[in-house]
Amino acid sequence: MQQIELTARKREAGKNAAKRLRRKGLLPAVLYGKDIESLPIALDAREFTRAYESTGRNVLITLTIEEDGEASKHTVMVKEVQRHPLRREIIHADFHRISLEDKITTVVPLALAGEEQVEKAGGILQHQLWEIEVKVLPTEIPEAITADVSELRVGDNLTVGGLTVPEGVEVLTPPEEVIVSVVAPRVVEEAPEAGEEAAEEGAPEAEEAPEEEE
Amino acid sequence: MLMPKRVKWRKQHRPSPKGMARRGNTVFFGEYGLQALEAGWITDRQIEAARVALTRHIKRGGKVWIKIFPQKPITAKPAETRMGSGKGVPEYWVAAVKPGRVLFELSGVPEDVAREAMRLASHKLPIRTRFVKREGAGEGSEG
Repeated sequence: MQQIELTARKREAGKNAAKRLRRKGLLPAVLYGKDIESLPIALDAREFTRAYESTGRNVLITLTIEEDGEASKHTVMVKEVQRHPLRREIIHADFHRISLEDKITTVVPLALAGEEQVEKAGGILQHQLWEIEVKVLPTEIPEAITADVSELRVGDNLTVGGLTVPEGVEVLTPPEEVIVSVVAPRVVEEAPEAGEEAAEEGAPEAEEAPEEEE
Repeated sequence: MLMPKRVKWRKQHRPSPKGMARRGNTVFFGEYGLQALEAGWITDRQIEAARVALTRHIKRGGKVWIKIFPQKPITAKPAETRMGSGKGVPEYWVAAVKPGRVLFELSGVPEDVAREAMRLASHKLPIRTRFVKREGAGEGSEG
């Protein structure tokens, strides 16, 4: 499992203070966890964004916090990031201090394998669940869990219960939740829709119809 | 055309949309999305026209999600009517959209098909939009 190091410092709480920090290129964040008080912190926005985008959220971070000339180290994970609705840049991060001995709850992305076989067989994959919730030791978090869909045919589903997960990983997402379903291409449905669409778009023949009614 | 089944009040005020979309600003169901870059009212007809453009382009396969709904009735007075005599009658329905809102989502098609479908759909809408992809696997949205 990847591990990265970041440095942060204590910051003043409040939205105006946070805006001032962002203008200086810093990222307002918060650190919390078992046995510690919640602590508002600030760290370099570009450094954090680069690290987060390259590794994803399931990465162990050694966070050094400088406070009044003293430095304290914490092993943390990213619990949540907030993004700007349009620019999509990270505007706030939550760091959760964790213990390496205790299992934690996190989400792991699902990766599909064997999609080509399904498409060759004439089915269309409908991906419905993109990540699952798991309980696992922080050092054993898998980067992704692979869902093999090569055996699926039209009408089949793959549920969370049908996944093969690595040892030590406990899945918390309900086993009946559907990850992928395979459906037949909609050919029959297209024909009436096309006629209806032409009418709505104001095609010449469709425009005549209401006039006749009058 | 999309419209509510029943509403509590027939006529609404028309406040201009302020701020940005705090919800519904990510691609949630599918792989690709069309995101609003401006605030505006999208009418039931425009939503339908965009949906038609999307489904026509992707032909078979793929799944489309419409993530906005025209909740808001817009009234209008008849032509050549003198002002006064109360508010007009409801004429059509709109979805009040704020910047950042993901309007449509698409999955089950290759990216180039999705891009073209979204481009065609965007021409049916009264606001500027952009194509976005699902965030997650290290990939952010793009213009």
